[in-house]
Amino acid sequence: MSENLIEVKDLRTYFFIDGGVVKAVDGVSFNVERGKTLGIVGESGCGKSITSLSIMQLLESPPGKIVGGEIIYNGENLLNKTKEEMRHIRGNKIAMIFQEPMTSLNPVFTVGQQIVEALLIHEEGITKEKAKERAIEMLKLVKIPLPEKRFNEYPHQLSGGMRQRVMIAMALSCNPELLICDEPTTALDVTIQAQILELINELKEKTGASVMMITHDLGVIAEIADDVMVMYAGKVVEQADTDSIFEKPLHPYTIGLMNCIPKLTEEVEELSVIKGMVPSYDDMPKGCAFCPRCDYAKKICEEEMPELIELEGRKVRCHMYSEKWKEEN
Amino acid sequence: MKIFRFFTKQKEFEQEVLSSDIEYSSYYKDSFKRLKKNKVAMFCAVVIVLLILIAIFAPLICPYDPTHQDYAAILSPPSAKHLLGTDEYGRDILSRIIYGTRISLSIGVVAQILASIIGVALGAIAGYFGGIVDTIISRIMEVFAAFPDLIFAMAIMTFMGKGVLNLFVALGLLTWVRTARLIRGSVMQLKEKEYVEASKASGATSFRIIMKHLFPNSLSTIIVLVTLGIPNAIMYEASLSFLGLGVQPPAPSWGNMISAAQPYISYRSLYSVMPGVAIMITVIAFNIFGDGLRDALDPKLRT
Amino acid sequence: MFSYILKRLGQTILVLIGISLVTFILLQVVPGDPVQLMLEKRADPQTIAAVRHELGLDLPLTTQYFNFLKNALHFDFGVSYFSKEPVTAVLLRCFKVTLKLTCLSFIFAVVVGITCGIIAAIKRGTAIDSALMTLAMFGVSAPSFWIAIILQIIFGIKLNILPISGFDTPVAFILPSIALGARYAGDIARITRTSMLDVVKQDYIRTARAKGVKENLIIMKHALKNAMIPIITLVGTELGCMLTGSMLIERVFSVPGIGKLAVDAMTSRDLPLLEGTVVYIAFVFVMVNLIVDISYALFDPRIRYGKGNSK
Repeated sequence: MSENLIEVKDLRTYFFIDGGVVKAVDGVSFNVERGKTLGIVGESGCGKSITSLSIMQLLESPPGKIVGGEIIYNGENLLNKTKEEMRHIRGNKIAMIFQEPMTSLNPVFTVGQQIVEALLIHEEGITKEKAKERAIEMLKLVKIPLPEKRFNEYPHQLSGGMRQRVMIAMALSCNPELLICDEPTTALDVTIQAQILELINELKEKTGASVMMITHDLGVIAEIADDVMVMYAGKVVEQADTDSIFEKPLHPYTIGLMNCIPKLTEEVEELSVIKGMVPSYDDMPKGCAFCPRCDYAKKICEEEMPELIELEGRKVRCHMYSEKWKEEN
Repeated sequence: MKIFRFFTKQKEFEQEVLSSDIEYSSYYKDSFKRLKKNKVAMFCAVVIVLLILIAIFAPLICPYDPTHQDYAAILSPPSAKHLLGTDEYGRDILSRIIYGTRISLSIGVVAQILASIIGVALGAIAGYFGGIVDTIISRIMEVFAAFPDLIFAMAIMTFMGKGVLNLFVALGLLTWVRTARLIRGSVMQLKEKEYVEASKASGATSFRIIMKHLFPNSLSTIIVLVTLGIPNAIMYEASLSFLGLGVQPPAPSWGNMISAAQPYISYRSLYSVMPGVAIMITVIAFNIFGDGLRDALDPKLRT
Repeated sequence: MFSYILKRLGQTILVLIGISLVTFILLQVVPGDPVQLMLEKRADPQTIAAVRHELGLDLPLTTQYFNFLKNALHFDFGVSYFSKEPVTAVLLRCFKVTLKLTCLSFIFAVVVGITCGIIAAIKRGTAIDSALMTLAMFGVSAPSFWIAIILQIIFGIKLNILPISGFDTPVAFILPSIALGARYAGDIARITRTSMLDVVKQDYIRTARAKGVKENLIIMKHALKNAMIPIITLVGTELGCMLTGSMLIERVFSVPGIGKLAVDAMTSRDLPLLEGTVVYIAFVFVMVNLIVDISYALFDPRIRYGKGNSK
């Protein structure tokens, strides 16, 4: 068996909306190794959530459509699976937790019912009693106090942090091999954020699952990820292991994101931000998508989209590290 | 000093109210643009205009006097002479349907205007005075809303006597509650705002300003309610007339025509079908146009 | 939950008192002396006075109202002027028929309406969706009594497969039930579609998909139970409207229900009967609304547990 649990190759997910095509994910490739955590970073709208929804095949379709690429999971291309086969994989082999714990649980079913449902779908021959036992076990595992009582409560009776724990319990109930977390802590208080991240880390160790952590917060990445992929406007701009990225970010966008983290050791007057915004699909620059916001941009950046080049075992999409750049100097 | 400040505040507020008129004009322009894009609604608007023209020019369009009885041609089938045939008194059905447009539209419009007047007045009073006045009016609204609609209209018609005028009143009384509720809500909101803006020390709220602000604020809501209320009223009129408690024969109304046609369905089915088609066209046109109007003017009103 | 029911109950009692008051006032303003109407013109002043006293019509208005209220509480509305039967007995007899018709129409409207609404929502944007919604629009915009006549013409006269009047055989109820239910089926289909489309956009539906729930279970279990809340609101108010709407249908099919009774009472000015029917129908109407409001709680745990309970 390969070391990689999942290999995404040249994934392209486009949205066809009236009058145009939005290339939300445009040629993204990455691997997630067994038992490791991959962090995907970027601002909102850069395609990181769409990447994860593409893997789960949960895109709103229409308008969204996977137009190219491969998603190899355990040696099989998920894009060739039938809907029914995908349904058996979702929640069973690959599970996902979402950004909004407040709205991600169904308000008219109890917490217990919702966890038991996942078990009943995927665990063959499990009895209701057994499923209930397992669900309570899961609630215990995610450190929900009084799990027997919570089992019979409705989502609106729980706090946001508790709901996210329930989501995690639900996602892990069938022992998935891959857990996709789409900004799991964004909607929560800072103290709760840390607890949830710690919980995910701990459970990952316990179950041996791989994790895909999607976030816009490099702080979260530092906490949890083994490898990092930085996305910008639907493309990968930098890929490396966590240590080297924090040691020496290569892409100007990564550098910008780094500077956005407040550092406790330095006295700063004001927090630096990356100027401007992610370009919208109808005024995508001809060259590098980041060029209008880039401090280092040169003429070549405006004209030509840089390739993803390999450099010291990492990957970066920037002209700065190309031969042409040196020529221009 | 305090009084002086009160007046400046008052001035500022009035100015704000006045300047907001400019926003309103662009708001209506935008809404109209949105409405124009809605092709189906615009088509229905054309149908409504046609219906209104038919109602106004009924005497010119009608081939016959709708009450003229021709005993030589009783219940005759459709022919070149009588396009839709004649009824049990030999009256031309087409002419009666055309005249029915007059009755239906006028009852729909007048009843809705009446309902709006009652609704705006009571809603504004309840919202403005609050307290016990509000409680009383709110309870009255609850009773009216809880009363089964058709029974209520029937009861009023029985007690006041049949006739078109009483029909206006009955249908007006039937539908004012919704307007009243909305107006009450917006007056209360405005009052709160005005109270905050003006001096708290004086405690006086200016009725004039509230009314001035209320009207442009709620006009679109009232327009939508009236438009969507008209088909309702037309339906009630038809129902009451069908039961013999609305428009009385020989005056033609779509409802009483269907009632009169019922004994003859086995061999003159067209007689009972056509007035219903007229009702349906009118009701659909107003409903779709009203929905379009609501979406264009005030999407929040969508329930 | 309990305090919610209690509050709604209090509101209902207030409304019922209001309705009795309105009915009483309306009865007072009826042109013409009811006693004269009842005895017709032959009676001499002495008899009139005697009957007047017997009926308690010579008492002060407030006393009359309280008597009326007291009797209404016992469902005692006196004796019909014309048939000389106790009003309550007539009411109960006729109500059985109306209730049967209303229930059948209600079942028809709910089953057809919700089914069509769900199908339209699943197939949104397709020809099926447009066809169903156009049909619903016609159903909502056509008067029920006219639909009834059209059904009579098609199934009773042209095809001659169903009876067009009466109420003695089960088949006789088919056309009236459809005619009465058509409009409400259209309404329910429209709200079901809107509500379903709104719900399937919610995050928890995505969660259910992520869990691997079967697509039809997502619709029938996860989405429908949430979509039911606005549907029940509508269905509830419509159940009440159907009770009064049945008047028109009863007339078309000459079914001797409470609606026909009300129309007869109104045209003949049989005041005790009229009073009885109005109060009775209003009572049933209000009660139905009360039951519907309470039944929301069964579908929405957020109401069931009240807001104070959430953390």
